[in-house]
Amino acid sequence: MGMATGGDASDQQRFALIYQSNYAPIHAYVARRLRDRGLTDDVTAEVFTVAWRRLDDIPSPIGGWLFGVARNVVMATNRATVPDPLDLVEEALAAREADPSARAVDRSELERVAEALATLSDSDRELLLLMAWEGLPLAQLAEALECSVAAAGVRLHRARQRLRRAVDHAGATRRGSTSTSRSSGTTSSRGRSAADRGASLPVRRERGGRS
Amino acid sequence: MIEQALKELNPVKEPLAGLDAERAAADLERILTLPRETVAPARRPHHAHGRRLAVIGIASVIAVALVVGLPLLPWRTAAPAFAATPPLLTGELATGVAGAPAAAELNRLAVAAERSSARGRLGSRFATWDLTTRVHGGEPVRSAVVPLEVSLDVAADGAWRRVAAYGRPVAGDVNAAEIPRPGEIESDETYPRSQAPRIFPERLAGDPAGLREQLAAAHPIDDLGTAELVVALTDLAREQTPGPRSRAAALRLLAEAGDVRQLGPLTDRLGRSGRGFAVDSDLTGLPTRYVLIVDPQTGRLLASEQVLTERAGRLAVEVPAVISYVVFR
Repeated sequence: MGMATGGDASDQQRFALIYQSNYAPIHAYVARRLRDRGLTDDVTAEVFTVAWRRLDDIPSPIGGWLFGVARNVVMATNRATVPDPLDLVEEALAAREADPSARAVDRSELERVAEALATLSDSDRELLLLMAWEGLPLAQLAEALECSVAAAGVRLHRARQRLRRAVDHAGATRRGSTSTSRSSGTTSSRGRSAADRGASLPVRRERGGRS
Repeated sequence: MIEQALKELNPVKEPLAGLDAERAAADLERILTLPRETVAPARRPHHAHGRRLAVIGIASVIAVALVVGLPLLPWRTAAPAFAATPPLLTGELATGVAGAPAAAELNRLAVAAERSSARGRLGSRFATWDLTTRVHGGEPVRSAVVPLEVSLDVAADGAWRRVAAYGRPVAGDVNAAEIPRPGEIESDETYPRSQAPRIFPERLAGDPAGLREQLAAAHPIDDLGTAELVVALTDLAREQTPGPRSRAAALRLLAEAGDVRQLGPLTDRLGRSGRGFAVDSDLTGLPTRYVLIVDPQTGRLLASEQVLTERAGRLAVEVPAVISYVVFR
Protein backbone atom coordinates (compact mmCIF):
# COMPACT_ATOMS: atom_id res chain seq x y z
CA MET A 1 0.00 0.00 0.00
CA GLY A 2 1.30 3.39 -0.84
CA MET A 3 0.20 6.55 0.88
CA ALA A 4 0.56 9.82 -0.89
CA THR A 5 0.43 12.97 1.15
CA GLY A 6 -2.07 15.38 -0.21
CA GLY A 7 -2.05 14.13 -3.78
CA ASP A 8 -0.63 16.10 -6.68
CA ALA A 9 -1.80 19.49 -7.87
CA SER A 10 -4.16 18.14 -10.51
CA ASP A 11 -5.78 15.86 -7.91
CA GLN A 12 -6.21 18.80 -5.57
CA GLN A 13 -7.64 20.94 -8.33
CA ARG A 14 -10.08 18.25 -9.37
CA PHE A 15 -11.16 17.59 -5.80
CA ALA A 16 -11.57 21.28 -5.02
CA LEU A 17 -13.90 21.58 -7.99
CA ILE A 18 -15.92 18.57 -6.83
CA TYR A 19 -16.04 19.97 -3.32
CA GLN A 20 -17.22 23.40 -4.35
CA SER A 21 -19.83 22.03 -6.74
CA ASN A 22 -21.26 19.51 -4.34
CA TYR A 23 -20.79 20.88 -0.85
CA ALA A 24 -24.23 22.53 -0.59
CA PRO A 25 -26.33 19.57 -1.77
CA ILE A 26 -24.36 17.09 0.32
CA HIS A 27 -24.56 19.34 3.38
CA ALA A 28 -28.30 19.64 2.85
CA TYR A 29 -28.59 15.87 2.46
CA VAL A 30 -26.78 15.30 5.74
CA ALA A 31 -28.80 18.02 7.49
CA ARG A 32 -32.06 16.45 6.34
CA ARG A 33 -31.07 13.07 7.75
CA LEU A 34 -29.37 14.08 10.99
CA ARG A 35 -31.22 17.27 11.85
CA ASP A 36 -28.31 18.40 14.00
CA ARG A 37 -26.47 21.47 12.80
CA GLY A 38 -23.16 20.85 14.54
CA LEU A 39 -23.04 17.23 13.56
CA THR A 40 -24.02 18.08 10.01
CA ASP A 41 -20.86 20.10 9.45
CA ASP A 42 -18.69 17.32 10.87
CA VAL A 43 -20.36 14.55 8.91
CA THR A 44 -20.25 16.54 5.70
CA ALA A 45 -16.52 16.95 6.21
CA GLU A 46 -16.25 13.22 6.72
CA VAL A 47 -18.11 12.55 3.49
CA PHE A 48 -15.63 14.66 1.56
CA THR A 49 -12.73 13.08 3.39
CA VAL A 50 -13.88 9.72 2.09
CA ALA A 51 -14.30 11.21 -1.36
CA TRP A 52 -10.76 12.60 -1.22
CA ARG A 53 -9.35 9.22 -0.29
CA ARG A 54 -11.35 7.60 -3.06
CA LEU A 55 -10.73 10.27 -5.63
CA ASP A 56 -9.62 7.68 -8.18
CA ASP A 57 -12.99 5.94 -7.83
CA ILE A 58 -15.07 9.04 -8.43
CA PRO A 59 -16.84 8.76 -11.77
CA SER A 60 -16.97 11.64 -14.18
CA PRO A 61 -19.50 13.12 -14.19
CA ILE A 62 -19.90 12.47 -10.50
CA GLY A 63 -23.69 12.02 -10.70
CA GLY A 64 -25.15 10.45 -7.60
CA TRP A 65 -21.92 8.82 -6.41
CA LEU A 66 -21.33 11.28 -3.62
CA PHE A 67 -24.84 10.76 -2.24
CA GLY A 68 -24.04 7.07 -1.95
CA VAL A 69 -20.97 7.92 0.13
CA ALA A 70 -22.96 10.42 2.18
CA ARG A 71 -25.63 7.86 2.86
CA ASN A 72 -23.10 5.39 4.24
CA VAL A 73 -21.29 7.94 6.34
CA VAL A 74 -24.60 9.12 7.80
CA MET A 75 -25.56 5.54 8.57
CA ALA A 76 -22.19 4.99 10.24
CA THR A 77 -22.96 7.76 12.72
CA ASN A 78 -25.88 5.74 14.10
CA ARG A 79 -27.61 9.04 14.53
CA ALA A 80 -29.92 9.05 11.53
CA THR A 81 -33.47 8.50 12.65
CA VAL A 82 -36.85 8.11 11.11
CA PRO A 83 -38.11 11.68 10.95
CA ASP A 84 -40.95 12.31 13.36
CA PRO A 85 -43.97 12.82 11.13
CA LEU A 86 -45.41 15.58 13.22
CA ASP A 87 -42.12 17.44 13.34
CA LEU A 88 -41.94 17.35 9.59
CA VAL A 89 -45.46 18.63 9.26
CA GLU A 90 -44.96 21.43 11.76
CA GLU A 91 -41.82 22.55 9.99
CA ALA A 92 -43.53 22.42 6.63
CA LEU A 93 -46.39 24.52 7.93
CA ALA A 94 -43.99 27.00 9.49
CA ALA A 95 -42.11 27.29 6.20
CA ARG A 96 -45.40 27.85 4.43
CA GLU A 97 -46.16 30.78 6.66
CA ALA A 98 -42.82 32.25 5.75
CA ASP A 99 -43.56 31.83 2.07
CA PRO A 100 -47.31 32.13 1.49
CA SER A 101 -46.83 31.96 -2.26
CA ALA A 102 -45.66 28.35 -2.03
CA ARG A 103 -48.02 25.79 -3.44
CA ALA A 104 -49.71 24.22 -0.45
CA VAL A 105 -50.99 20.79 0.35
CA ASP A 106 -53.75 20.46 2.89
CA ARG A 107 -52.47 19.88 6.43
CA SER A 108 -54.28 16.59 6.84
CA GLU A 109 -52.75 15.36 3.62
CA LEU A 110 -49.31 16.36 4.81
CA GLU A 111 -49.88 14.45 8.01
CA ARG A 112 -50.99 11.35 6.16
CA VAL A 113 -47.96 11.38 3.91
CA ALA A 114 -45.60 12.09 6.81
CA GLU A 115 -47.07 9.25 8.84
CA ALA A 116 -46.96 6.90 5.88
CA LEU A 117 -43.34 7.83 5.23
CA ALA A 118 -42.40 6.82 8.75
CA THR A 119 -43.85 3.34 8.25
CA LEU A 120 -41.77 2.53 5.17
CA SER A 121 -38.57 0.56 5.20
CA ASP A 122 -35.36 2.57 5.38
CA SER A 123 -34.50 1.71 1.79
CA ASP A 124 -37.90 2.71 0.45
CA ARG A 125 -37.85 5.96 2.38
CA GLU A 126 -34.33 6.78 1.27
CA LEU A 127 -35.19 6.14 -2.35
CA LEU A 128 -38.26 8.35 -2.26
CA LEU A 129 -36.50 11.14 -0.40
CA LEU A 130 -33.45 11.11 -2.64
CA MET A 131 -35.82 11.92 -5.44
CA ALA A 132 -38.21 14.27 -3.63
CA TRP A 133 -35.75 16.14 -1.42
CA GLU A 134 -32.45 15.83 -3.21
CA GLY A 135 -34.07 15.99 -6.63
CA LEU A 136 -31.95 13.20 -8.05
CA PRO A 137 -32.99 11.89 -11.45
CA LEU A 138 -33.24 8.15 -11.92
CA ALA A 139 -29.73 7.69 -13.29
CA GLN A 140 -28.21 9.45 -10.29
CA LEU A 141 -30.44 7.52 -7.93
CA ALA A 142 -28.98 4.37 -9.41
CA GLU A 143 -25.47 5.66 -8.84
CA ALA A 144 -26.25 6.62 -5.27
CA LEU A 145 -27.70 3.20 -4.58
CA GLU A 146 -25.02 1.35 -6.56
CA CYS A 147 -27.51 -0.42 -8.74
CA SER A 148 -28.56 -0.37 -12.37
CA VAL A 149 -30.93 2.27 -13.67
CA ALA A 150 -33.42 -0.49 -14.33
CA ALA A 151 -33.17 -1.74 -10.78
CA ALA A 152 -33.50 1.78 -9.43
CA GLY A 153 -36.57 2.27 -11.59
CA VAL A 154 -38.17 -0.87 -10.29
CA ARG A 155 -37.32 -0.06 -6.69
CA LEU A 156 -38.68 3.45 -7.05
CA HIS A 157 -41.84 2.21 -8.67
CA ARG A 158 -42.43 -0.26 -5.87
CA ALA A 159 -41.53 2.22 -3.15
CA ARG A 160 -44.10 4.62 -4.58
CA GLN A 161 -46.69 1.88 -4.58
CA ARG A 162 -45.94 1.06 -0.96
CA LEU A 163 -46.07 4.72 0.01
CA ARG A 164 -49.41 5.11 -1.74
CA ARG A 165 -50.79 2.13 0.14
CA ALA A 166 -49.37 3.42 3.39
CA VAL A 167 -50.94 6.83 2.78
CA ASP A 168 -54.28 5.16 2.18
CA HIS A 169 -53.79 3.13 5.33
CA ALA A 170 -52.79 6.22 7.30
CA GLY A 171 -55.98 7.88 6.10
CA ALA A 172 -58.06 4.94 7.21
CA THR A 173 -56.26 4.82 10.55
CA ARG A 174 -56.77 8.50 11.09
CA ARG A 175 -60.43 8.28 10.16
CA GLY A 176 -60.82 5.39 12.60
CA SER A 177 -59.04 7.15 15.44
CA THR A 178 -60.54 9.66 17.81
CA SER A 179 -57.14 10.80 19.00
CA THR A 180 -55.10 13.34 17.15
CA SER A 181 -52.39 13.58 19.73
CA ARG A 182 -48.81 13.59 18.62
CA SER A 183 -47.91 10.35 20.36
CA SER A 184 -50.91 8.38 19.21
CA GLY A 185 -50.35 9.36 15.63
CA THR A 186 -46.77 8.20 15.67
CA THR A 187 -47.44 5.01 17.57
CA SER A 188 -50.30 3.89 15.40
CA SER A 189 -48.21 3.99 12.28
CA ARG A 190 -45.01 2.57 13.70
CA GLY A 191 -46.69 -0.08 15.77
CA ARG A 192 -48.37 -1.72 12.83
CA SER A 193 -47.95 -5.46 12.60
CA ALA A 194 -45.78 -7.12 10.00
CA ALA A 195 -48.87 -8.54 8.39
CA ASP A 196 -50.38 -5.09 8.09
CA ARG A 197 -47.18 -3.92 6.49
CA GLY A 198 -47.12 -6.86 4.13
CA ALA A 199 -46.37 -4.65 1.20
CA SER A 200 -43.22 -3.47 2.93
CA LEU A 201 -41.82 -6.91 3.57
CA PRO A 202 -38.43 -7.37 1.98
CA VAL A 203 -38.88 -9.00 -1.36
CA ARG A 204 -36.15 -11.15 -2.74
CA ARG A 205 -35.91 -10.76 -6.46
CA GLU A 206 -33.32 -11.76 -8.93
CA ARG A 207 -33.36 -9.14 -11.57
CA GLY A 208 -31.46 -9.97 -14.66
CA GLY A 209 -29.43 -12.72 -13.14
CA ARG A 210 -29.16 -11.57 -9.61
CA SER A 211 -28.46 -14.64 -7.58
CA MET B 1 -50.59 14.99 -4.28
CA ILE B 2 -48.16 12.62 -2.57
CA GLU B 3 -45.19 13.89 -4.56
CA GLN B 4 -46.07 17.47 -3.74
CA ALA B 5 -46.56 16.63 -0.07
CA LEU B 6 -43.16 14.94 0.04
CA LYS B 7 -41.57 18.06 -1.38
CA GLU B 8 -43.33 20.24 1.16
CA LEU B 9 -42.09 18.03 3.97
CA ASN B 10 -38.49 18.69 2.99
CA PRO B 11 -36.96 20.14 6.18
CA VAL B 12 -34.13 21.90 4.33
CA LYS B 13 -35.62 23.67 1.37
CA GLU B 14 -32.77 26.09 0.85
CA PRO B 15 -29.47 24.22 0.92
CA LEU B 16 -27.44 27.40 0.81
CA ALA B 17 -29.22 28.97 3.78
CA GLY B 18 -27.61 26.82 6.47
CA LEU B 19 -24.06 26.84 5.17
CA ASP B 20 -21.06 28.07 7.08
CA ALA B 21 -18.77 29.11 4.25
CA GLU B 22 -15.76 29.61 6.52
CA ARG B 23 -16.13 26.16 7.99
CA ALA B 24 -16.50 24.67 4.51
CA ALA B 25 -13.35 26.39 3.30
CA ALA B 26 -11.39 25.34 6.37
CA ASP B 27 -12.52 21.74 5.92
CA LEU B 28 -11.42 21.74 2.29
CA GLU B 29 -8.02 23.06 3.24
CA ARG B 30 -7.63 20.39 5.89
CA ILE B 31 -8.86 17.54 3.69
CA LEU B 32 -6.37 18.42 0.97
CA THR B 33 -3.52 17.89 3.41
CA LEU B 34 -4.70 14.38 4.28
CA PRO B 35 -2.94 11.39 2.75
CA ARG B 36 -4.68 9.65 -0.10
CA GLU B 37 -4.57 5.94 -0.71
CA THR B 38 -2.77 4.76 -3.77
CA VAL B 39 -3.26 1.47 -5.44
CA ALA B 40 -1.02 -1.57 -5.53
CA PRO B 41 -3.49 -4.29 -6.37
CA ALA B 42 -1.36 -6.94 -8.00
CA ARG B 43 0.64 -7.96 -4.94
CA ARG B 44 -2.14 -7.61 -2.46
CA PRO B 45 -3.51 -10.89 -1.12
CA HIS B 46 -7.01 -11.08 0.29
CA HIS B 47 -5.91 -11.60 3.87
CA ALA B 48 -4.26 -8.19 3.91
CA HIS B 49 -7.68 -6.62 4.08
CA GLY B 50 -8.02 -6.53 7.84
CA ARG B 51 -4.51 -5.22 8.38
CA ARG B 52 -5.02 -2.50 5.84
CA LEU B 53 -8.23 -1.33 7.37
CA ALA B 54 -6.61 -1.31 10.78
CA VAL B 55 -3.95 0.99 9.40
CA ILE B 56 -6.45 3.30 7.85
CA GLY B 57 -8.60 3.28 10.94
CA ILE B 58 -11.34 5.55 9.74
CA ALA B 59 -14.84 4.48 10.46
CA SER B 60 -16.36 6.10 7.46
CA VAL B 61 -13.99 4.34 5.12
CA ILE B 62 -14.92 1.06 6.72
CA ALA B 63 -18.58 1.85 6.28
CA VAL B 64 -18.12 2.66 2.65
CA ALA B 65 -15.96 -0.39 2.08
CA LEU B 66 -18.52 -2.67 3.67
CA VAL B 67 -21.63 -1.22 2.23
CA VAL B 68 -20.77 0.37 -1.07
CA GLY B 69 -17.50 -0.48 -2.57
CA LEU B 70 -16.38 -3.82 -1.25
CA PRO B 71 -16.21 -5.63 -4.55
CA LEU B 72 -14.66 -2.65 -6.27
CA LEU B 73 -11.96 -1.55 -3.88
CA PRO B 74 -8.52 -1.99 -5.39
CA TRP B 75 -6.95 -4.16 -2.70
CA ARG B 76 -9.65 -6.73 -3.12
CA THR B 77 -9.07 -7.25 -6.82
CA ALA B 78 -6.48 -9.99 -6.09
CA ALA B 79 -4.74 -11.52 -9.03
CA PRO B 80 -6.95 -11.35 -12.12
CA ALA B 81 -7.19 -7.98 -13.78
CA PHE B 82 -10.50 -8.99 -15.31
CA ALA B 83 -13.28 -10.99 -13.75
CA ALA B 84 -14.06 -14.30 -15.38
CA THR B 85 -17.17 -14.23 -17.51
CA PRO B 86 -18.99 -16.99 -19.39
CA PRO B 87 -18.20 -17.47 -23.07
CA LEU B 88 -20.51 -15.78 -25.53
CA LEU B 89 -23.09 -17.97 -27.15
CA THR B 90 -22.59 -18.43 -30.86
CA GLY B 91 -24.76 -15.93 -32.68
CA GLU B 92 -25.60 -13.97 -29.54
CA LEU B 93 -24.13 -10.77 -30.92
CA ALA B 94 -25.44 -11.19 -34.45
CA THR B 95 -26.72 -7.96 -35.94
CA GLY B 96 -30.09 -9.58 -36.38
CA VAL B 97 -33.19 -8.06 -37.85
CA ALA B 98 -35.39 -5.67 -35.95
CA GLY B 99 -39.02 -4.94 -36.60
CA ALA B 100 -41.45 -6.91 -38.67
CA PRO B 101 -39.45 -10.12 -39.21
CA ALA B 102 -38.92 -10.51 -35.47
CA ALA B 103 -42.59 -9.77 -34.89
CA ALA B 104 -43.63 -12.38 -37.41
CA GLU B 105 -41.44 -15.01 -35.79
CA LEU B 106 -42.64 -14.09 -32.29
CA ASN B 107 -46.26 -14.28 -33.41
CA ARG B 108 -45.58 -17.67 -34.95
CA LEU B 109 -44.12 -18.83 -31.65
CA ALA B 110 -47.14 -17.41 -29.84
CA VAL B 111 -49.39 -19.64 -31.93
CA ALA B 112 -47.13 -22.61 -31.16
CA ALA B 113 -47.37 -21.77 -27.47
CA GLU B 114 -51.15 -21.70 -27.57
CA ARG B 115 -51.23 -25.09 -29.28
CA SER B 116 -48.68 -26.55 -26.93
CA SER B 117 -49.71 -29.09 -24.32
CA ALA B 118 -46.92 -27.92 -21.99
CA ARG B 119 -48.76 -26.57 -18.98
CA GLY B 120 -47.72 -23.79 -16.71
CA ARG B 121 -46.68 -24.29 -13.12
CA LEU B 122 -45.77 -22.27 -10.09
CA GLY B 123 -42.18 -22.52 -8.98
CA SER B 124 -39.08 -22.72 -11.09
CA ARG B 125 -35.74 -24.47 -11.58
CA PHE B 126 -32.88 -22.54 -13.06
CA ALA B 127 -29.14 -22.00 -13.12
CA THR B 128 -28.13 -18.40 -12.82
CA TRP B 129 -25.00 -16.31 -12.70
CA ASP B 130 -24.43 -12.59 -12.45
CA LEU B 131 -21.19 -10.66 -12.52
CA THR B 132 -22.07 -8.12 -9.89
CA THR B 133 -23.70 -10.25 -7.24
CA ARG B 134 -21.62 -13.39 -7.13
CA VAL B 135 -20.37 -13.51 -3.58
CA HIS B 136 -19.21 -16.46 -1.50
CA GLY B 137 -18.47 -16.13 2.20
CA GLY B 138 -18.55 -12.36 1.93
CA GLU B 139 -15.97 -12.39 -0.85
CA PRO B 140 -16.67 -11.60 -4.49
CA VAL B 141 -15.84 -14.55 -6.69
CA ARG B 142 -14.00 -13.19 -9.69
CA SER B 143 -11.68 -15.90 -10.86
CA ALA B 144 -14.32 -18.33 -12.07
CA VAL B 145 -17.89 -18.37 -13.25
CA VAL B 146 -19.83 -20.32 -10.64
CA PRO B 147 -23.55 -20.48 -11.32
CA LEU B 148 -26.18 -20.96 -8.68
CA GLU B 149 -28.63 -23.80 -9.07
CA VAL B 150 -31.94 -22.51 -7.77
CA SER B 151 -35.11 -24.42 -7.07
CA LEU B 152 -38.28 -22.65 -6.08
CA ASP B 153 -41.09 -24.93 -4.98
CA VAL B 154 -44.59 -23.77 -4.18
CA ALA B 155 -46.48 -26.16 -1.91
CA ALA B 156 -50.20 -26.84 -2.11
CA ASP B 157 -50.80 -24.46 0.79
CA GLY B 158 -48.97 -21.70 -1.08
CA ALA B 159 -45.79 -21.83 1.02
CA TRP B 160 -42.56 -21.15 -0.80
CA ARG B 161 -39.26 -22.92 -0.42
CA ARG B 162 -36.32 -21.54 -2.30
CA VAL B 163 -33.01 -23.36 -2.23
CA ALA B 164 -29.91 -22.07 -3.98
CA ALA B 165 -26.80 -24.22 -4.21
CA TYR B 166 -23.53 -23.52 -5.93
CA GLY B 167 -23.04 -25.33 -9.19
CA ARG B 168 -19.90 -26.40 -10.98
CA PRO B 169 -17.74 -23.59 -12.30
CA VAL B 170 -18.23 -23.18 -16.02
CA ALA B 171 -15.44 -20.78 -16.94
CA GLY B 172 -12.33 -19.12 -15.57
CA ASP B 173 -9.99 -20.75 -13.06
CA VAL B 174 -12.07 -23.72 -12.03
CA ASN B 175 -9.44 -24.75 -9.47
CA ALA B 176 -9.24 -21.40 -7.72
CA ALA B 177 -9.20 -21.67 -3.95
CA GLU B 178 -11.89 -19.05 -3.45
CA ILE B 179 -14.67 -20.78 -5.32
CA PRO B 180 -17.33 -22.69 -3.39
CA ARG B 181 -17.78 -26.44 -3.55
CA PRO B 182 -20.43 -27.64 -5.98
CA GLY B 183 -23.56 -28.46 -4.03
CA GLU B 184 -22.75 -26.12 -1.16
CA ILE B 185 -25.96 -24.42 -0.10
CA GLU B 186 -25.94 -20.70 -0.62
CA SER B 187 -29.38 -20.14 0.89
CA ASP B 188 -32.41 -22.14 1.95
CA GLU B 189 -35.48 -20.06 2.64
CA THR B 190 -39.05 -20.95 3.42
CA TYR B 191 -41.96 -18.53 3.42
CA PRO B 192 -45.56 -19.08 4.42
CA ARG B 193 -48.00 -18.12 1.72
CA SER B 194 -48.75 -14.74 3.27
CA GLN B 195 -45.10 -13.75 3.26
CA ALA B 196 -43.92 -15.28 0.01
CA PRO B 197 -41.78 -12.69 -1.78
CA ARG B 198 -43.97 -12.86 -4.81
CA ILE B 199 -43.54 -10.38 -7.60
CA PHE B 200 -46.25 -11.59 -9.94
CA PRO B 201 -49.78 -12.88 -9.36
CA GLU B 202 -50.40 -16.62 -9.49
CA ARG B 203 -53.06 -16.18 -12.12
CA LEU B 204 -51.53 -14.55 -15.13
CA ALA B 205 -53.53 -12.81 -17.79
CA GLY B 206 -53.91 -14.58 -21.11
CA ASP B 207 -54.03 -11.43 -23.20
CA PRO B 208 -51.09 -9.13 -23.96
CA ALA B 209 -52.62 -6.00 -22.43
CA GLY B 210 -53.57 -7.74 -19.20
CA LEU B 211 -50.21 -9.44 -18.91
CA ARG B 212 -48.39 -6.21 -19.58
CA GLU B 213 -50.29 -4.56 -16.76
CA GLN B 214 -49.31 -7.38 -14.41
CA LEU B 215 -45.68 -7.18 -15.47
CA ALA B 216 -45.60 -3.40 -15.17
CA ALA B 217 -46.78 -3.52 -11.56
CA ALA B 218 -43.18 -4.07 -10.47
CA HIS B 219 -41.29 -3.31 -13.66
CA PRO B 220 -41.56 0.19 -15.14
CA ILE B 221 -41.80 -0.99 -18.72
CA ASP B 222 -43.40 2.23 -19.87
CA ASP B 223 -40.47 4.26 -18.55
CA LEU B 224 -37.60 1.95 -19.40
CA GLY B 225 -38.73 0.29 -22.60
CA THR B 226 -38.44 -3.14 -24.11
CA ALA B 227 -35.30 -4.12 -22.18
CA GLU B 228 -37.33 -3.78 -18.99
CA LEU B 229 -40.00 -5.99 -20.55
CA VAL B 230 -37.30 -8.60 -21.12
CA VAL B 231 -36.18 -8.25 -17.50
CA ALA B 232 -39.78 -8.62 -16.35
CA LEU B 233 -40.32 -11.78 -18.42
CA THR B 234 -37.08 -13.20 -17.07
CA ASP B 235 -38.11 -12.43 -13.50
CA LEU B 236 -41.48 -14.01 -14.19
CA ALA B 237 -39.83 -17.23 -15.35
CA ARG B 238 -37.85 -17.32 -12.10
CA GLU B 239 -41.17 -17.50 -10.30
CA GLN B 240 -43.31 -19.66 -12.53
CA THR B 241 -43.69 -21.19 -15.96
CA PRO B 242 -46.65 -19.36 -17.47
CA GLY B 243 -49.38 -21.42 -19.06
CA PRO B 244 -49.87 -21.60 -22.84
CA ARG B 245 -52.07 -18.51 -23.13
CA SER B 246 -49.84 -16.37 -20.97
CA ARG B 247 -46.75 -17.58 -22.82
CA ALA B 248 -48.42 -16.57 -26.06
CA ALA B 249 -49.34 -13.20 -24.59
CA ALA B 250 -45.74 -12.63 -23.53
CA LEU B 251 -44.46 -13.42 -27.00
CA ARG B 252 -47.02 -11.08 -28.54
CA LEU B 253 -45.93 -8.32 -26.19
CA LEU B 254 -42.41 -8.74 -27.51
CA ALA B 255 -43.74 -8.78 -31.06
CA GLU B 256 -45.54 -5.49 -30.46
CA ALA B 257 -42.41 -3.82 -29.13
CA GLY B 258 -40.88 -3.09 -32.53
CA ASP B 259 -37.26 -2.97 -31.39
CA VAL B 260 -36.77 -6.68 -30.82
CA ARG B 261 -34.16 -8.24 -33.08
CA GLN B 262 -34.41 -11.75 -34.40
CA LEU B 263 -31.18 -13.70 -33.98
CA GLY B 264 -32.35 -16.97 -35.54
CA PRO B 265 -31.43 -20.35 -34.05
CA LEU B 266 -29.45 -20.13 -30.80
CA THR B 267 -28.22 -22.91 -28.55
CA ASP B 268 -28.41 -22.20 -24.84
CA ARG B 269 -25.89 -23.15 -22.16
CA LEU B 270 -27.60 -26.49 -21.62
CA GLY B 271 -27.24 -27.36 -25.29
CA ARG B 272 -30.90 -26.82 -26.12
CA SER B 273 -31.80 -25.32 -29.43
CA GLY B 274 -34.19 -22.38 -29.51
CA ARG B 275 -35.04 -19.16 -31.29
CA GLY B 276 -33.01 -16.17 -30.27
CA PHE B 277 -34.22 -12.61 -29.83
CA ALA B 278 -32.39 -9.54 -28.65
CA VAL B 279 -33.03 -6.00 -27.49
CA ASP B 280 -30.21 -3.47 -27.37
CA SER B 281 -30.45 -0.86 -24.65
CA ASP B 282 -28.30 1.43 -22.58
CA LEU B 283 -30.78 1.83 -19.76
CA THR B 284 -28.17 0.71 -17.24
CA GLY B 285 -25.74 3.31 -18.52
CA LEU B 286 -23.74 0.77 -20.48
CA PRO B 287 -24.80 -0.47 -23.92
CA THR B 288 -26.21 -3.89 -23.20
CA ARG B 289 -27.80 -6.60 -25.29
CA TYR B 290 -30.67 -8.46 -23.64
CA VAL B 291 -31.04 -11.90 -25.19
CA LEU B 292 -33.92 -14.33 -24.89
CA ILE B 293 -33.95 -17.91 -26.16
CA VAL B 294 -37.39 -19.36 -26.72
CA ASP B 295 -38.37 -23.00 -27.17
CA PRO B 296 -39.79 -23.26 -30.73
CA GLN B 297 -42.27 -25.99 -29.77
CA THR B 298 -43.76 -24.60 -26.57
CA GLY B 299 -42.91 -20.90 -26.63
CA ARG B 300 -41.36 -21.34 -23.19
CA LEU B 301 -38.43 -19.19 -22.18
CA LEU B 302 -35.31 -21.33 -22.16
CA ALA B 303 -32.70 -18.75 -21.28
CA SER B 304 -32.03 -15.08 -20.78
CA GLU B 305 -28.72 -13.27 -20.91
CA GLN B 306 -27.25 -9.80 -20.72
CA VAL B 307 -24.16 -8.91 -22.71
CA LEU B 308 -22.11 -5.73 -22.50
CA THR B 309 -21.46 -4.84 -26.09
CA GLU B 310 -19.35 -1.69 -26.28
CA ARG B 311 -17.76 -0.69 -23.02
CA ALA B 312 -17.50 -1.96 -19.48
CA GLY B 313 -17.51 1.26 -17.49
CA ARG B 314 -16.06 0.43 -14.09
CA LEU B 315 -16.76 -3.27 -14.40
CA ALA B 316 -13.53 -5.20 -14.69
CA VAL B 317 -14.44 -7.24 -17.75
CA GLU B 318 -13.36 -7.25 -21.34
CA VAL B 319 -16.17 -6.42 -23.74
CA PRO B 320 -18.08 -7.99 -25.26
CA ALA B 321 -18.87 -9.79 -22.05
CA VAL B 322 -21.76 -11.81 -20.75
CA ILE B 323 -22.53 -10.21 -17.40
CA SER B 324 -25.58 -12.22 -16.48
CA TYR B 325 -27.36 -15.36 -17.54
CA VAL B 326 -30.11 -17.67 -16.44
CA VAL B 327 -31.11 -20.97 -17.98
CA PHE B 328 -34.47 -22.42 -17.05
CA ARG B 329 -34.68 -26.17 -16.63
